[in-house]
Amino acid sequence: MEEATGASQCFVFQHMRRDSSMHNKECNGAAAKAHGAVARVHADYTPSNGPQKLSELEAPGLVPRGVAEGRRWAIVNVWRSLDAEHAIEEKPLAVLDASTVAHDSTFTYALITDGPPALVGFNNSVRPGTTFPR
Amino acid sequence: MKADEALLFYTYDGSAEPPRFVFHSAIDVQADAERGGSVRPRRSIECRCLAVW
Repeated sequence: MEEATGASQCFVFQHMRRDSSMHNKECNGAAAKAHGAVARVHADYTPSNGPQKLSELEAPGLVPRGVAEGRRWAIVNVWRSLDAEHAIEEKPLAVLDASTVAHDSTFTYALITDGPPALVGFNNSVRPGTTFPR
Repeated sequence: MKADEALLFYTYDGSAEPPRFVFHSAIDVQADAERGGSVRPRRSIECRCLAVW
C-alpha cells in the first residue's frame, strides 16, 4: 500500500468481509456471517468524523499519538474479491471520481443500528442527479 | 475483478480543502434472469488504513 500511494507509513485499523449471497442474512436471531454489499452511494466518513477517526485511533494506541501532526494523512480503503477462481459477477463496486463531485452536492446522513444498544453513526452521500455529467 | 487485483481509494482525504471523499456503491450489472442462470455472489474484503505521508 505504501508503494501504491507513496505514503511513508500505513496502519491497518479495520477489515470487513462482505457477502452478497441471499443466505447471508440476519435470520431467527442468528447473525449474518458477513456484512452485505452496500448498494447506496456513500463515503465511509464525513467532514467531521473523518478527523475524529484519527483521534479515535490514537486514543487506544492503534496508531502512535501525533503520528499525522503536520503531515498529510488520509484514510484509504483497500478492496478486493475473495474468490480465487472467478471474476466478480454480482454487485461489483463502483467508485466516483472525487474531482467530479462538488462539495455542496454532498450531505451527511445517520445510520442507526438495531439495539440494544442502538448505535448511531454518520456517513456521507451525494445528492441524486448532481454528479454526472456536470 | 479477480482476487489478485485490488482497488485502493481514499475514503477520507483531509489534505484537500474542503475534504474529499471517494463515493462508492455496489451496483447491479445485469439482472440474474438475463444471464439465464445463477450468479455467483460477491465475496469481498476491505481493509481500512490510515496513510501518512
